[in-house]
Amino acid sequence: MSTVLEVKNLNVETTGKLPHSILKNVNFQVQSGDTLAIVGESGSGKSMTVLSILGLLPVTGVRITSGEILLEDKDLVGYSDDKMNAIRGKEIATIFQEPMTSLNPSFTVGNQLAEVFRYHTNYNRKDVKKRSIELLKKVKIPDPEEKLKAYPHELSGGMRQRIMIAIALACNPKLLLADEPTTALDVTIQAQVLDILTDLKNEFGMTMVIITHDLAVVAENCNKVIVMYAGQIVEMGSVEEIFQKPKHPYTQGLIQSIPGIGKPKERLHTIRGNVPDINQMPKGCRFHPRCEIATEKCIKQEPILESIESGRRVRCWHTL
Amino acid sequence: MLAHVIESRDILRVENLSKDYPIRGGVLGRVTERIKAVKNVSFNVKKGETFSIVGESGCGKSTTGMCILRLIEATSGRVYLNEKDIFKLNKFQMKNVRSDIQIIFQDPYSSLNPKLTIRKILREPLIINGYGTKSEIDEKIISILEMVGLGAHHLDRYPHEFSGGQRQRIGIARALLLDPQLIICDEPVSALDVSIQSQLLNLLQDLQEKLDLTYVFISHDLSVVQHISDRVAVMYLGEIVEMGPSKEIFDNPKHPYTKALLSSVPKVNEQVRRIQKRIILDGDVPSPKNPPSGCTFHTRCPFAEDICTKFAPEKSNINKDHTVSCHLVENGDII
Repeated sequence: MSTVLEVKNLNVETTGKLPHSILKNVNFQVQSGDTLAIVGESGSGKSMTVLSILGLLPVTGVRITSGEILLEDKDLVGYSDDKMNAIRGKEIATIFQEPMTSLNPSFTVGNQLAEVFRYHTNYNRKDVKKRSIELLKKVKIPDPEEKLKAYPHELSGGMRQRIMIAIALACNPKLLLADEPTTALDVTIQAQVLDILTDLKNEFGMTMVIITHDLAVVAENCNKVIVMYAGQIVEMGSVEEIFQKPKHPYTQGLIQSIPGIGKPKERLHTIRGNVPDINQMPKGCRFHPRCEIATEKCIKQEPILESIESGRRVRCWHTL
Repeated sequence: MLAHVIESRDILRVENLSKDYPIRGGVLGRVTERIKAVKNVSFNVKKGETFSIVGESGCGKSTTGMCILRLIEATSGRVYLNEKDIFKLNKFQMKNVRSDIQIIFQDPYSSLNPKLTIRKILREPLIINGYGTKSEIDEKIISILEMVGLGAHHLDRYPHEFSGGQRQRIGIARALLLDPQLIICDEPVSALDVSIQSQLLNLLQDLQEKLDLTYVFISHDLSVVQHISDRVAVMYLGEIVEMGPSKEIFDNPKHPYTKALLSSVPKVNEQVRRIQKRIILDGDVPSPKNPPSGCTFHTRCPFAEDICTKFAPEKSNINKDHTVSCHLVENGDII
């Protein structure tokens, strides 16, 4: 297995006189064929990680202060827009959360699919159309030829998300980043879309990174998991390890908080308090104000992401 | 399971509730079509229980909730609160009833006025209902805030100073101020993270016990519904397709749509996942503008037969509390 993507010591901070850290020392690798999940609550930095990889961080307000993002042997940090444009859509493709807003409402589906080919290939019109229809068939869109002429508003949410998948797959990317791909969809439609993603993954041996807050989606569709909290990775491991033997108190709390695991009406497990604000990040372990087992050491000293087995890491003083 | 329901008196009875939205077209702006958002929905809610309405977007679950409160006027049907027909009341009589039924909205970001402090937001319902002097009002507000896990020191802050979970607590406090009997919870935890969601679900359950509240809980999240409900109604395209005690609906669903819906939910527990086979439905929910003939679910139903395309199924009883609208269940084809 080869490494497709490696993120090394990535730090992202806000700009300004008093910079606040948004991502702190994020380190991980994606091996070819993996389906890696990055989970966390809002504000944990999971979307920022993806935007950094894609070079799509907001132009003002935040910046990468240090670290490397290695796509095979290229370091993407500091790539110009032109250079990134050649990579986005061809080597790394993305599916965003909102299928309602991520398609351009004033162009047809066919037009938006063709754009990818125009940019990255030298197909002629005929090839583009043929390939577009093929792609729509792959994502199980009924009568694809007709749908090429449709505008986004004529399609349902699930259909739009499938178009997004088709656009993402157009150039057989090495890596597919899916940022909350099914969060905006109803459960029966979510099941359809996840089914398509799994099929395509098996067919093309695609490498995927799924960003989500839905632990059940992770449990069913991914093989490796990264748990993020307040801009840091707090735990990583295989999906079985994370769900059966979670080591970090945050991961444990998160899994126990899901309703429907215990008996109905029984009190749910809760994690006290709220996710910290980026300008009031707790000292020491960032989770200590909400942690049940925090001690003096946790308040004073920041734990490191210690490796406990191969591929398994935990950032906590007490599980080691 | 219904142990905490002391009397099984119906607090709310909804009979044949329908809501049409007219679509106007042409030069004269005449009504050309009607969208049937809710069709002949009937159910009753017992005092002290949690009755949930589940379904996908566009199935009419929120419209049903709004119609009960008369925030939207229903096209036809009756709603009885404590045996009183509230659709017959005029504006002033309705004001009194409103203090008995309150609502918690989904989005804590847009349901609180950003220009008012928490004190002002919470004072409003009490002033409108002539609760008492300023100090009595403040006393009441503080006691309710403490009940939802906030305190007097939060009173002079503005909504933007609170996190999503805290804002939803304020929304709950606002609903509790007038000592309601029934609260309609319209997706109260959908906008929140899991760890915050569990805090609020616990809070809702504690309050129910302490204040003897009845909830109509509207949600699309089946694991939340399974956790909190006593009874569940499943809606599809404006109709209730199956209704019964929560345990029966989740352990032994009868309607093909309920089966598919439950099987679509991703599961953390591997054992549950292995037992339950996923049914993936074809296509999307049809537009309520031109719903399919016969049983509205037949276009996506894996078991549909001829009869389903022609006639709408009648409601049939599996047992006293469990009803389902499906030809095939009625004929004993799917059990």
